[in-house]
Amino acid sequence: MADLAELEARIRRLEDIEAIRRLKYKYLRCLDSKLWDEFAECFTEDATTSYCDGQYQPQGVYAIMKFIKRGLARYHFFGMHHGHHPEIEITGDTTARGTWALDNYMIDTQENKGFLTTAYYHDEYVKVNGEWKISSTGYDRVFEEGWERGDTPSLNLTANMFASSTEPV
Amino acid sequence: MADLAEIEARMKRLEDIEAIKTLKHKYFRCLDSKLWDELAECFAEDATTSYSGGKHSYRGRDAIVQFLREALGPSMISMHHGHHPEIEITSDTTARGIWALKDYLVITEANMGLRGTAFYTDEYAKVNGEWKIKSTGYVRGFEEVWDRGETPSLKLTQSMFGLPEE
Repeated sequence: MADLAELEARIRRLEDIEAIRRLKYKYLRCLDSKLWDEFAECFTEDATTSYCDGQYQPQGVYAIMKFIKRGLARYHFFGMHHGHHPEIEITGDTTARGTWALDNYMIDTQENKGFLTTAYYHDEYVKVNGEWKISSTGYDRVFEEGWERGDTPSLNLTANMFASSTEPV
Repeated sequence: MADLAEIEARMKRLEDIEAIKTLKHKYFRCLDSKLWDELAECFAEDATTSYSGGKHSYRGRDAIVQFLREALGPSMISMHHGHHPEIEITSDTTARGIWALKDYLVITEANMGLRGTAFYTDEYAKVNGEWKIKSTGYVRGFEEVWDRGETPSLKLTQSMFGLPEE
């Protein structure tokens, strides 16, 4: 029969998996809500990245935030980053890794363009002061396609959470 | 070292999180399947809503289900998928959660398409041992609509509610 210590370890593993999933959901929510201060909390200070099949590799939370904001801080470029299919593996008391499937749909109202991308994320996580953080993240695209929204003349944006936001300087 | 009571409490927290996720999954399944009686089971008697940034605010289970039944009538074929649960258990019988929504609708009467995203903010209560939605609401990320007639080859080939007449 399982003893207390073994039970505790098994529950901890489930708690860690849940905490890491929540971390990724916060990351994706903050990305699409443009909540940059909260987004930065998801990373370790020295986090590394390999975005866009390795095309962009900002290192450290400061450089990562600068890179992300350059691409996504503008209010005319917004959309949906949904992460699915978590395969989380706890590799130590304070380390883990995970892969995720990304479903990404973007709208650029300035260029009047649309984009659809899917990708797989490969992440590493560490527990710092009892909290899981992303220590490394990156994704490889499976496919990406773009189109002119004007090709569908009736296409009408009827809600946009940034409609009344002023562009950052 | 952890004692049995602590282990039980931590186990219970995980079970509660899982039960709340299942509750929300049931909510979306019943919404898209138009199972209104089963949908009603998801809500606490005195539940409140603040759908679409507060535009659709209702109080009481019956009023909420009545609104949803009318909003998602026979000409609305819908996909509402809830993702990214951030569930926080706040006591033995209360919890809150954030979810991301992806929705896609075929509005057969008007031959319109709709695509959107939203963020849900929910509160849950455990009533007689079962988690229920106590309050729910969402803010749209974006929403867009289009005329399906602009894609002449687009053809609805199946619907669990029957296909519209040609």
